[in-house]
Amino acid sequence: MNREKRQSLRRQLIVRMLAMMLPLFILLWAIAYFSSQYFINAAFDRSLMRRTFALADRVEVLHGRIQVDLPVAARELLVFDQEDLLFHSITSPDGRVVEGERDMPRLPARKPIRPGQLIVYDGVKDGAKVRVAAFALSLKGTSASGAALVQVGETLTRRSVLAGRATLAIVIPMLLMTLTAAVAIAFGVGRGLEPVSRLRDRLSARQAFDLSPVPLEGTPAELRPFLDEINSLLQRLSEAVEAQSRFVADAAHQLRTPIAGIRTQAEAALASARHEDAQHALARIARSTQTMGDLVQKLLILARVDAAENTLRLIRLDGAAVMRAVAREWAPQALAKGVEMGFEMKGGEAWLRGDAQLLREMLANLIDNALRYGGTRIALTVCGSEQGVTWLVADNGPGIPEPQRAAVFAPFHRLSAGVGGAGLGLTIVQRIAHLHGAAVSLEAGKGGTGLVASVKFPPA
Amino acid sequence: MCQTFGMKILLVEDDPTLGEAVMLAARQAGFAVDWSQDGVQAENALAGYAYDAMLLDLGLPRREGLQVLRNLRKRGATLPVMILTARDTVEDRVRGLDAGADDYLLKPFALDELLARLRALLRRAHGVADTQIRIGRLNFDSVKRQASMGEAPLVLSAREMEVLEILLHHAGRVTAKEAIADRLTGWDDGVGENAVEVYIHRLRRKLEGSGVAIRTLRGLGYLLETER
Repeated sequence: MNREKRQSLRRQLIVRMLAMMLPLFILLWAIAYFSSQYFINAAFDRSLMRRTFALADRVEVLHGRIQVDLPVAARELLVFDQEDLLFHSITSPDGRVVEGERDMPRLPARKPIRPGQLIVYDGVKDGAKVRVAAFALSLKGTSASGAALVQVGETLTRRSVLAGRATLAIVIPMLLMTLTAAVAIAFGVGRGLEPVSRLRDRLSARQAFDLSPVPLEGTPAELRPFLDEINSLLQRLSEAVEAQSRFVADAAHQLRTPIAGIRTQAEAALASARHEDAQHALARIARSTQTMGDLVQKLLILARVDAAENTLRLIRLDGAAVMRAVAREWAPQALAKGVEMGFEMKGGEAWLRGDAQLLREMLANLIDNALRYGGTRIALTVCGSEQGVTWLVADNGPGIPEPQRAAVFAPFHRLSAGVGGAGLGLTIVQRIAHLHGAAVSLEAGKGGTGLVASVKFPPA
Repeated sequence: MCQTFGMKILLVEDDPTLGEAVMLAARQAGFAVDWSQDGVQAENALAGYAYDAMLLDLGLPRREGLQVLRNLRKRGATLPVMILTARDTVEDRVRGLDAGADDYLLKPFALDELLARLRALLRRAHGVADTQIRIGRLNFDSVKRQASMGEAPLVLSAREMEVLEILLHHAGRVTAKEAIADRLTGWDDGVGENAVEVYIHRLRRKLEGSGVAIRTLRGLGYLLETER
């Protein structure tokens, strides 16, 4: 779980994007904050300057004395504001405060103010930061030479409120954009990876022996190298599997001629042997080679079933016709052994999808088993229904005890000695059924006697 | 029993154990046998003597069995050829029969089956089988359209005769009821499967004591068998 999280492409992309966005975001915030402060200061300073000039206009020299003609309304305007604290003062050239506040923040020491000049500076008043405009007003007609100092100041509440709002107005859209990008990535990665999950579904639905290449259509270009590798691995794997089943087939093949030699020699000698012991031994040899031949034949069929796995083409077949044909083929052999064979159709039409040759092989093995281990009757039934076709091969023999029924599908498992089976019949049956998506099961017959092998096909 | 006296066959088999056993068994059964162990030797033997039949292995040294067979048929020789082989796919069989083989037997085989099939091949080659059929005490002549039990002629209607002929031609194999109905419809109109049952029933009665019985296999059809 943990590892899976760490390796999530979506998570990685989002984390990386956010990691890149964060410093950028902080930088932007700083730029927004300082630039909005700069522009707001400029605007507010201009208004501060205007008020300073307006106040300076009110300064007159009467009889050598500085007088300020400030109407009440104008004074109010200089003092009153909803948010900020306003204050002003006028100082005569000799340093006497003529009007307003006595305790003004000090002028910056470094730059002496020249007459006719206006400067704006930062200061502190009553513990609060303030901004002050100072104008050196040249006066005519006074005894004192120099300039009167006109100062207007204000606290910074509105400025900082506005600067904060301006910053937010820039930062909030930016924040929204970042979040949108993260959501888009999360969603986009999901959409982008959709072909991958489709691919995964297709791969996990595969049959164990399906080694055909993964189709490349509709897969994103980024996955191609990866898929090419998978396909080349599958290719090598299927070549190895093929080589192995070819080897089994070749080996089985090569065994046939020597087995035929032994069997034919034994049978030929049996016909002319005079001694009873020799006859007995020869009969045994002949029977053993027959079993051996049977085994080789079944190994070959298994190898062929393996090889058919990749090239299998299932076509629509009449399940009743296939079963009837195999039954007709085997009936004479069964009768010769004293076993009666019957065929019956139940339900509707019995269409199924399959490979006729393999299906015949499967039925032949089921009938062969019934003949070897069964009793005196073999009943073949085909049941057609909406849910698919079912084949039943029933015999009235001793049956198989319930606990042993699962084990008989394993290769080389045999129930009793002396019947000459190869122990591969049901393995072949199951492999072929598997190729057809069909289920094989063994049950006791009616009344608990005999054995019924059923093969249930999916609907055609 | 078919006469095998004087019949000479060529056995082509490179496996010494198998070849020797087949040769011995065929000799015991009354055939004269020559044995070649490779393709070239076989062609030389075929050029030097007119054999009645050939038993041919496919995987041979020096020249492939199928090549020997093709060369033989190219020269216009018509002797029956039975292939003895370890190759058993459908394609292998088709290739063998296309090359001109008359029968195909898969190794390992039972000697009895080999000899029975060899006799059948020779009978067919000498044109006996198609006109006269004999099973148990029953004789059937498909040219004269006559059947007899021992010496006594068997009185059958035309349709009963037709049904019997179909069954005899399929002797040892199961004949579907529909197949019989189809054949009868060919020269008579609308014979249902129920009618077939009636003819079978009558035939069965008439064949009593002939040593031949018609067995009904439920859902499959009929099988002609020799009574034991």
